[in-house]
Amino acid sequence: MIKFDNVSITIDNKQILKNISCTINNGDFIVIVGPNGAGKTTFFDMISGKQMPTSGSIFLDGIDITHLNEQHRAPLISRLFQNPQLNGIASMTVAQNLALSTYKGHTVSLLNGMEKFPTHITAQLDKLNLGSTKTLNTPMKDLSGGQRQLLAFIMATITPPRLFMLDEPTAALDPQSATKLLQFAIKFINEHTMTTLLITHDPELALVIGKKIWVLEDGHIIKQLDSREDTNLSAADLIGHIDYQKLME
Amino acid sequence: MNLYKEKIKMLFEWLIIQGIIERGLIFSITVMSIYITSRIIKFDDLSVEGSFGLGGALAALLLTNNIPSFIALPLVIIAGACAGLATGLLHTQLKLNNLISGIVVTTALFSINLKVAGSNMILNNKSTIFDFIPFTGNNTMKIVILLPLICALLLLIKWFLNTECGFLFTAVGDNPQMLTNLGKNPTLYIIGALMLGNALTAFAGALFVHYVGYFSIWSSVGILIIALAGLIIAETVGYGFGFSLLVGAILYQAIIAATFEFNVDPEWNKLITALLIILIIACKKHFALFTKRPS
Repeated sequence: MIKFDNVSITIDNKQILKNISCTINNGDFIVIVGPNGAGKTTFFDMISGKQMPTSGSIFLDGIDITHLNEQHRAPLISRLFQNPQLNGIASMTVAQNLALSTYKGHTVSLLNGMEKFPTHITAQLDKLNLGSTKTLNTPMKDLSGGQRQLLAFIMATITPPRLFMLDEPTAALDPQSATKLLQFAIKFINEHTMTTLLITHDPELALVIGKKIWVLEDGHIIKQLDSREDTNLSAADLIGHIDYQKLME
Repeated sequence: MNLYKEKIKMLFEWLIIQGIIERGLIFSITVMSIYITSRIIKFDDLSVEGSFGLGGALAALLLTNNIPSFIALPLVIIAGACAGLATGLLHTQLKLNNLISGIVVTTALFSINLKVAGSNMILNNKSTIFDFIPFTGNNTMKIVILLPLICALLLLIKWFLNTECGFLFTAVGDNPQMLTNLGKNPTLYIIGALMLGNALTAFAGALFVHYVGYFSIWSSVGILIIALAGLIIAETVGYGFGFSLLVGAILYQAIIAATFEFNVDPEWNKLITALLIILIIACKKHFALFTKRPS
């Protein structure tokens, strides 16, 4: 369980997150929606330790981790960025990237870098058409955006994290690739009951996949909704009504 | 009489080729260093200019004080690593730009090198690593020591780059965020790679002093561009960290030696090197344009 107690973040004299108090329970799948500049990515940065809170406290299972830096929180948290470039090493092969992702939480040595290649995920890779010898020996930069995000998802979950954060993982993908990634991700997350936070701009997606939906606006969590309790939720409840007809006026 | 002349000519030609290979082998260590810093961790490290001189100055000082090479060379390597540490700390702790960090360290090392060995220091027939060659009395076959030494060094670094630690060196240059995601400290790996690069360059500087028998403060001027030229040539003949780095450094020395054949004043060497780099880069771009596949 992660608890945020009155947490605020100020960057360059501008308060980005304002007195946030909330709790993420084990096994939660929370979708976060909100307009640009609402503080969604800063919220993730704060959880991962990239941004330290200006005030307030963060507790993980009752232990204060407010001042634990990003490097030390990494073994507990995995994060998938919307930019595929940030999710792997472009110049290294797919196999090398997979081996690299197993170093999380371990001290590295002078063993061969491929020694810890995760052989247990080969079936998973095959299902996604990423398991052939040719693909494994392809530099990550030569994969399509969709393949890179799928691979990044596998890399982020090789060592099961306590909290998994997906920051608009489909933003840079075409609809087909985005659907493939989401189908795979949601199935995997549900099967492993992984505590997950997902940021999206798509209210329809949030309604379909989110058990809990948090609406972030101007640095505050203005709504905490539960789609299982409130079955009549609509996109307008999350992002307000958008009148596309006005475009033509 | 003609046969005698022919033999002298052949010997002369062999000595030129041998000299090219030997100098190429020594400078290939600097090419390896530049590869590690500029290609692996993507850090344009100008401090190699200073660390090459530092290696040379220390080697000259230690040899003239009768310190044996097997003690002197490790000390030189440690000193080079310290130069890399200084560059790394300036960049990571004081947030100085890559180039400025290198320039600051090189400038500081110029004074240190002058204090260590003066502007020139002659070894006066002190024992160098080339005196270990048992079957040549006049040190003419330095290649016998250099070739296995440099090949072993290259293979050692190649092995290291394929270890878990080496993978993280590659990763930090490409995507430092990935290291943080793995719970590793990117700063540590940036500094580590700079220490390795500068240790190698200092070692090259020391070997150069062992090879030519003297230290000159000016011998390190332009070493970065020489290494860069070697690296660019290496990248046209091969890919990645491998024997192409040796080939690149040797080919560069061959080009410079060819200019002597055409009686070009050695003072033009640096200009020739700069033009060579421009020419190769322009050719590569031109070639890439014509080989670009339609999307």
